[in-house]
Amino acid sequence: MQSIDQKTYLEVFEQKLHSIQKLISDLERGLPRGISDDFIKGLKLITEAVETFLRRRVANLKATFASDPKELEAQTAFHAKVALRILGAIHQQYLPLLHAETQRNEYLIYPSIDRALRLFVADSFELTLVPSFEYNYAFEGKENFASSEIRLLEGHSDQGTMAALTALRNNTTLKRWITFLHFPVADRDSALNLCVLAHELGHLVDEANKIYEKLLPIELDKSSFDELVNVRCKTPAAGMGSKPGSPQLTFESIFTKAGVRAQCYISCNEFLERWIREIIADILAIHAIGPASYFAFNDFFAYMGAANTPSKSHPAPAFRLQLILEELKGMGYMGSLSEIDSVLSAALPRVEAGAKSAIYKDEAKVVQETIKKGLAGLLAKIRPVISGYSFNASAYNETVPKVLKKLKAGIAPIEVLDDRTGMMTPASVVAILNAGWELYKTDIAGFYSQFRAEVPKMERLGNLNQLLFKAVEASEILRRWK
Amino acid sequence: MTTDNHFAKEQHLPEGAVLSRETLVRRLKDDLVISPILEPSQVGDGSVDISLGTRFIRPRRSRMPMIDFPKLDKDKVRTFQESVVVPFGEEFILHPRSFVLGCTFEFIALPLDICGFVLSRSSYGRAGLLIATATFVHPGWKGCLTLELENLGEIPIILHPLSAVGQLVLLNATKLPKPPEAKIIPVGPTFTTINEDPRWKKMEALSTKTT
Repeated sequence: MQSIDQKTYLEVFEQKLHSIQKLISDLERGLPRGISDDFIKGLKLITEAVETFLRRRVANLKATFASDPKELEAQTAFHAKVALRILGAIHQQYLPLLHAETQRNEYLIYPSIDRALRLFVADSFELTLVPSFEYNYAFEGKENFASSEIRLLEGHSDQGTMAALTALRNNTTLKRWITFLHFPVADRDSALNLCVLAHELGHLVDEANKIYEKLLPIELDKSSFDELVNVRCKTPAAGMGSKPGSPQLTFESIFTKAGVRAQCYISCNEFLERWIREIIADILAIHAIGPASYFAFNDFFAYMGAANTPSKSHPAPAFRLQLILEELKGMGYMGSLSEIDSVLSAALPRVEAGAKSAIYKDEAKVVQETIKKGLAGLLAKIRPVISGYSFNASAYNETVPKVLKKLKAGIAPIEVLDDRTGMMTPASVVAILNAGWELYKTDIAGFYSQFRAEVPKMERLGNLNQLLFKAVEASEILRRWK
Repeated sequence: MTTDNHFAKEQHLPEGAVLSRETLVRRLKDDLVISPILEPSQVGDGSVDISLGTRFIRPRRSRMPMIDFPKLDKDKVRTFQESVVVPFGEEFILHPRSFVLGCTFEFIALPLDICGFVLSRSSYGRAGLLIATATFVHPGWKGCLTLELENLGEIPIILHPLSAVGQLVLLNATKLPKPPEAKIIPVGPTFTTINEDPRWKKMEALSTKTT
């Protein structure tokens, strides 16, 4: 006997379906045209599919179990719960994304991000920027959104319902990828800090092009792996199998050495895949936007108070910064006496020392050793994806100084003079962001000196960020206008 | 006539002389910034057409009973006005006898010897749209100009970002000895800061003395 009867489930379903449909419409009204269109279309499709599923299934069950009220009760409740679970997912996972976006979409930077992504992602996609109060940047990609949810319902359907759901699925074309970039609200007014988004975009490029699949599997470093297995074998398995007063059992005594080895293998590979994907995104970001990616990451780690230790999902911050700086070196940076090269060169020894002092234990140690040994090969496979767009030192020297000159003068660097044609051309977004960082790192006092004495320092910095946003927005419009 | 001759002639322009198209084109390549110029036809004799940007400050209903300028600090202003962004392709509806603060899409930086006046374009004015009341732009000023848009007609007006609603008339001015220090380099419309006018304190002191 169920504690909640099927009538309640069906009534709750009706109520929640109605409230979710209303919420979707309300949120849709709050968004400008062209924002999250396919996401909204997908949400409506899922709710329609859930409604179709439950109505058809209930009718079918009533006919099938007309003479067996107990079974009818149980089957109806079960199917209502399946439908409610999907409504719950819409409510709890998807609607918050839509809601966050209506608060204030980052309309000014969106077109530039969208254009950049289309260079690297051949599949159709829709991108939504989601501000959140949690201080974190994250990428969330849903491949074949809606279809995958509807397929869950198909698993519990009769033939007629299945046909109706398949028809719904086939009649709506959505973009292949519905993607979300989460960024902290605290950084929404900082064009400089938002450069961290380049790393998250790297995740999308990786996901869509399945770069990580080309890099995996990688053979784990043998000696550190064997060491991990030996240590794990002797580790007491707390709370497993031992009776009070009897000797503590170890993992080996419970699972055998081969079993422990298999478990370690699985967990090391879980670490490895995640770390590799972070490294891919780091390398793609550094090639896409150059030193701006390093500086933004450096500030991000500082604010996060990131300990110099790795986690299951990320390598140690210092190791990542070292990797980024060495990649920049390989791109021709730090080879001159320019101000930007001096700043980067000064950072390298500090970062190297930090990377050396990072503490690796257990799986992290195995994965770190594995990556260290195979790093050159890994990087060689990642670089070709973006080599045509790499913002190397010569690209930097060709574009950033002109933009920087304007920025220093307090002018939004929207366009620059093209020496070859003698015409004004839109400044590149990457050059704008790098000029912003160079100014901030090398001559911010000069920029601040344009302001009256009573203007607080952080307002002056805010104004620099506003000039950068303006330049990004207007240069993009100019590019499209032409 | 060579460019040098033009320059020599321009240096002897009387203060307040409106700059010709030829001069404007030349100065735009040099030290006058009105960026971006989307169409060459924007630059005319004596003026440059300016268009509407994406950022607005709109009024909203508030519990504040009245506006008292000396007490109107920035927090109070935000109780009856709010910032909004209207992306390109979207529109802002300006209802009859209401107003909104907009800004120019163009970023402007005037050299130390050029000043300007912002005017409505007559085609819009004839339909009831006024765009500015604070019309003077000082030599050396930088930023996106705040436009005070007002619908004087009887039916709503749709405002489209990028539409060329105004013109900036540019004139020769006595050269400032050094660039003015900025309080802000605006890239959108700015809220009023009238309460910071030092005159209020003197007025207050005066009234204390007389009572």
